[in-house]
Amino acid sequence: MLRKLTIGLVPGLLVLLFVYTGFTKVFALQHFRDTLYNQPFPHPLAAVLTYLIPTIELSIAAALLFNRTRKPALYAATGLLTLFTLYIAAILLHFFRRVPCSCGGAFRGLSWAQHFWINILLTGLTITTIIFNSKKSIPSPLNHLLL
Amino acid sequence: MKKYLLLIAIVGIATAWINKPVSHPLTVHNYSFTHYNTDGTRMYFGKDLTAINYIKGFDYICLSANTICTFMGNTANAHTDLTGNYFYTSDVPPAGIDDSGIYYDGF
Repeated sequence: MLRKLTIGLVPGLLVLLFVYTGFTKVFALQHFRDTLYNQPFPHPLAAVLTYLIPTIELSIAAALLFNRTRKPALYAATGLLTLFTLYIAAILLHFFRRVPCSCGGAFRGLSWAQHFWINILLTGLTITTIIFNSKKSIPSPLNHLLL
Repeated sequence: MKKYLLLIAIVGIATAWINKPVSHPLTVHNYSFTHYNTDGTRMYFGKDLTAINYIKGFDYICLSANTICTFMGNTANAHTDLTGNYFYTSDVPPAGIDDSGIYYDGF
């Protein structure tokens, strides 16, 4: 039951997340660019990330829509969420010379700490879905109701 | 393809459009980059920041009352100098120079 719920709900949650975050950046690309330039990494990298991040997010969302590409998309989502979580952790641990504002993300009202815990939760859910997906399904009379 | 995922994607696009950041004219400001300090940092002098609705004491500080106000910085904003280069608020030294060339060494 939990397995079916997870496999059914988490891809939907991730599609919503990546479509929302990706298109929020695309619809206001200049704003996203300015925000990246205010982050503590080199400006040439920020210039590349301005286009790369929304492209990756929307590609993952598109791949999650199709059965054949859902599994690699879940791995890619885990990778992207992990990278962002590590970046936030580095900020929170003061690895950089200053703490940039967290105002550029899709959830602009959240602090870095809140971003961190949400990312941990989403990464955990995505990994759980991958694990459930890799296990063989056990026939159940409820299967046809949930899928 | 699962139709409910496609429906969720459409909802996501609509939500992103509704919640997209509004381009604000104060997001990026130009500041005059005059010359380098001896420690290699740049010196800037500000425009009339009140004319662009900056908040005194938060976004800017006036070094010489009602004449030249120099940049203090709102970290929520990105900034460019007149050469088009972005700079961080923390890069701006606590010093400035007014348009007559008088240098102010800190606040």
